[in-house]
Amino acid sequence: MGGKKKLNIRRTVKNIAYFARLIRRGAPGMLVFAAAYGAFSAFSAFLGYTYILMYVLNAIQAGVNVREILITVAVILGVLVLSGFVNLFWEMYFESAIIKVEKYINGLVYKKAAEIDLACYESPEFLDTYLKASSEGISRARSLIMSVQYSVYDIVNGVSNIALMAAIAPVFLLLAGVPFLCTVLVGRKRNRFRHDYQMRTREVERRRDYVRRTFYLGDFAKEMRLTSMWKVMFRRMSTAVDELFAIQKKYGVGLMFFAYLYDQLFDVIVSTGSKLLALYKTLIAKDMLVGDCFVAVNSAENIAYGLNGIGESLLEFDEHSMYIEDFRRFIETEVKIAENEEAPDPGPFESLTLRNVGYTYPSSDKSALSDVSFTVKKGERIAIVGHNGAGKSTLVKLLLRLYDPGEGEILWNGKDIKELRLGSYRAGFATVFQDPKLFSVSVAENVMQKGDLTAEEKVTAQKALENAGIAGKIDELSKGADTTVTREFDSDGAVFSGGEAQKVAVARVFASPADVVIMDEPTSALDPIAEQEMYSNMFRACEGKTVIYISHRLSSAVFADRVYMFEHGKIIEQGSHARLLELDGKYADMWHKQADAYAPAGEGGTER
Amino acid sequence: MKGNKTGTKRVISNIFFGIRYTLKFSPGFIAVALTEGIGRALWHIVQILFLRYFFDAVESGVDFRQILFVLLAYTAYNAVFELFNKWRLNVYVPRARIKLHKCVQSELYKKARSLDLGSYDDPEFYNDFIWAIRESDTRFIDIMDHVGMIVNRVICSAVVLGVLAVIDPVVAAVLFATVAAGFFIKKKITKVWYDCNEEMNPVRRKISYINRLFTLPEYAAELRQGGISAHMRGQNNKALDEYAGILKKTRAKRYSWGFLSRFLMDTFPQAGITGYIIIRFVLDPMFTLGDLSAGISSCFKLFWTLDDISNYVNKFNEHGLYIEKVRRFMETEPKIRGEEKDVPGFESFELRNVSFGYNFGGEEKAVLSDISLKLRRGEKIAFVGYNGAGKTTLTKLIMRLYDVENGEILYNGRNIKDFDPESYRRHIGAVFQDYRIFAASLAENVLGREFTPGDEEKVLSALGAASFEDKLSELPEGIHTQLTTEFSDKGIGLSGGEAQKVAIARVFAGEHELMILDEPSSALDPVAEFELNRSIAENAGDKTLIFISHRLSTTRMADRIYMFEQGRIIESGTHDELMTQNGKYAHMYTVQAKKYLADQLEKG
Repeated sequence: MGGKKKLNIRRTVKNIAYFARLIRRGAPGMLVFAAAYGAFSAFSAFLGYTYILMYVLNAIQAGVNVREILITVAVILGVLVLSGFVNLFWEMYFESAIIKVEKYINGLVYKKAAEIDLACYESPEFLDTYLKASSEGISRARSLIMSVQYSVYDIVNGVSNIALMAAIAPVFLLLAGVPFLCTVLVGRKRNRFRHDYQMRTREVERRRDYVRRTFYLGDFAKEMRLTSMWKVMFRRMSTAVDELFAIQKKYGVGLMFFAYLYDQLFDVIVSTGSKLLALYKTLIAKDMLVGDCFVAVNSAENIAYGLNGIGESLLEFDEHSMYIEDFRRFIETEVKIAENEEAPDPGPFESLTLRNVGYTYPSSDKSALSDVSFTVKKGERIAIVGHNGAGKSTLVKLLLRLYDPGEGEILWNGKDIKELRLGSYRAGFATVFQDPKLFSVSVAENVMQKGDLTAEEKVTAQKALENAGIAGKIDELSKGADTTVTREFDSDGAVFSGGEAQKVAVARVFASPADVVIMDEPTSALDPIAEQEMYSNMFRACEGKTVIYISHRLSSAVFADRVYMFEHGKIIEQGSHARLLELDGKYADMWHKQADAYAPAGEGGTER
Repeated sequence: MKGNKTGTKRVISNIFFGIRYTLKFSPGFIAVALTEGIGRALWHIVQILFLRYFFDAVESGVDFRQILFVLLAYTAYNAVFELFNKWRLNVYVPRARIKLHKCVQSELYKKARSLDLGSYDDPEFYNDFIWAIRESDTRFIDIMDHVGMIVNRVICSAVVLGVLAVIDPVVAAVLFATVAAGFFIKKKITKVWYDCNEEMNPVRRKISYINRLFTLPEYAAELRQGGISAHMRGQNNKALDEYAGILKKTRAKRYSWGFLSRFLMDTFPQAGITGYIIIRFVLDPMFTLGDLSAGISSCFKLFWTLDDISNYVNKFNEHGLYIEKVRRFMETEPKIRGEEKDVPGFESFELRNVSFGYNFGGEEKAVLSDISLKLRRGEKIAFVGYNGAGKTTLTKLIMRLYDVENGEILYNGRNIKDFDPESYRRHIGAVFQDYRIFAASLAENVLGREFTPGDEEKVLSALGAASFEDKLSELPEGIHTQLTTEFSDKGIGLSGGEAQKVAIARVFAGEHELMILDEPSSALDPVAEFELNRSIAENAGDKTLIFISHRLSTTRMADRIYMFEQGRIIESGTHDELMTQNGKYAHMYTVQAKKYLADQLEKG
């Protein structure tokens, strides 16, 4: 993500603070606890590994009595033991607190995800960056908490060691500061170099891994066996590997250089340097005691690691911040089609009117719909027909207010739908989408589109399934309509074919109390008998309801009170089936193309 | 990963298999790994000995130059060793990894492609198979790396133990005993966690399923309908509660073992042994500063290395299990085989009493029973019938994606099992309902192979035959346009209907003698369907055709129509014959046709 953006302290602090608030709402005190734990473990490590030695050496030299030395040693070691238990306690606390954070953050993200304008999904930036960031919220929370803990540890440990060193031999601090200085100076450059390398390899690896998927996923298995596509994929893999090799050749030595530089800074300057200095001060200048020499040599490395750790955590927070910014953009995305609690309810359906409605997708310069006007009254059956890509599915999304029209307006009982309560407005429709998705909950819950079903609701669901012509299949399942859909979580789960899934989706419509029914190609996967049953059931079950349906099988258009024929986003013909045939325009042409093939041999107008 | 036990012998044999396998492709690797292992072990030893020397020398006031010389030699050793190590990590291993990846994947891919399609129906095999492929590049390298690590840890710990025994034999013995006990506790902890994870994994999977729902665009529209989004949010909270519940339930067990191990492996050596050494230093004048320094640092090192050894030993168990799966996969022989590569041109086809069922986890589900039919060159036949009647399965049998157990399928009078499947399949082209578009150029997708100059015409005419011209004229780079946005933002995502046309073009471009079209127009509008049918009629010429469709108008011209119900052919004949017969086909046809015909009659 980014990586090239400039380090901006203020923005970083703001972003971290924002995320810290989210964590706090999930598990109050967790960050404070993380910091406290970091501080305590740093302090006990300092006491147990560094201070203790200095104390013992100095105490012996100063001739303190052995009993007192031993008691102090015991106390310090006691702190160390305590720290081991605190660590255990921290882990115990962490695993349960993080679940609360997950609950809170996921709740926030999911709620937002369900209300964000569908139009946002048309933007690749939204999908690749913000939506992705939202799905990673909890893992980021986890790593932010760790970062807080570690940076506090580094600071406390660093500061204590520095204080100690300042007391015995401040000159060693200069040595220990070198790696830190180096991180501050070239750390970002190194990170960027590493980041470039990772970005470039990741891009190529993505291609390579795609090939891998084509070889192992069942979806591709048939084509891989029946065509020579596998050779194309194989070559892709080879090319990707060659590219990876070239990238590694370009970056490898540089990466090695940075790694070696850092390593040697510690090993030569800090480690050897401090020993050299100690040697000089003890043996030649003779201004250092042997005990201090021992402590200084040990402590110099500790300080260097601690300081360097602080430098690294600054960079880490910078990285967190960039991610959090994307997350925040998602959560703060302005919802244009939002619920307005004060808006009036739409009221029982009387009529739906479109006035000069037009819509253009943000990613396109061609309008998907333009100047569409019509009125649907209560109880009418409306068929929408037309070529693939004529704007029919866009119309459905506008009717459901998943998009707001760019031009014109849509009126429910004469009132602009933008001024009505969104939730109740959408509840006025029952919809089957073109490619219906089922959820991995029970069949009945899929039908009712809610959880915790009452006995009554279960009956409704069962009846709807019967009307949809799928009850037979459902009865065969291990737990009937209570069976979970998909085998993902339940080995006895229900697996549906495309046609069966479509029937379950249609059952939703039968179960819904909504006044208006919208179906986008509800029978595309069904056999002729099932299709016929579906339509006759639908018209029976939806008696009195208003039905708007899209179909490529024009035989269904015959039942419609009115047919709207779409082409290039416009209504080009409208009227009843009979009138449109009389009109002998494009609808009639389309009709004949389909119908004539059914005419008894020798009769139909195949000459058309 | 799975609970299945593998004996130690088998684990070792697997590890050696892994090593041999890696060596085959990357012979220098083991040398580099061992050099590193030994170099690092030496370095640890040098460090301890040096510390002891250094502080003793400073304390006793040895000549400055001598200490300086040793210090510089010590630094130089490190500088050279680290240079080697950084080269290994940043240059050698990444390159070896890339090379190894290519070689291993090439073998696995070839194997994967040769697997019977039936293998995909066995979830257990399929999961193992995915695991084998997905981790193949990291596993083999890890095994080599870990061999190097174990070598260095073993050398290192042996020597450190020796040094420690000299400084203080009691400490050495206590440490060794602690680590040995710790090893068993670790094993126990692994087991406890494993059980806990077993219980948690399904819940975790559910949580990530819900995460996917809310963050994948496919579900966006559905989630805005009814109460489903609230319901799924509730499910998420429920799953998280369940997850917390499992953690809570197993907490006492996990942490009591954790406590024991923490005490034995962490607190005790850190506090106890450090304390013991310090006390010795305080009380025993013969215990020098060098001994103190070397004693403490060798304690830590020893702990660290021994602990690491037990970790790696555990890792090797996992590696062994992994290799086991790879081996099993590599040793799986496809059952669909045949010797004869020289398959003659298509003349006739016959199914004799074919019955077939898919095998789901040992339980056979009958799909087709007692199917017999004949097909001669140039004939056009249609399969029609209800959803789930077995039509698609039958085409898979004809393509020999599955072999039949009962009955036989004859190609030019010979059992298709005699032929090499790959050579056999080349004679047949098929569009399935669940066709896939690959992230490759349009031309490659149509050809089903690489594009070579001179293929333009073939691609264009195939696309023409599939009525794809309109869309083609919109594509910026014509037939060389990349499909899907997988690799390039400029790639084109096709709609369902367009993709279907490309899949059909693929069959036309293949110039097969026998073509199978399974619902080729399901996603097309009436005009596009009409044109497709006309085009198929024009292009099919004297080719042999098997056609499946729910739109009975498109199949009525067939030379023979087979009506399927519950895996059986219940009626067959020409459209007219079947209509006269007035059976189920006639009923189905009438149901579909009557609305169209009612109108025709009215008009007529």
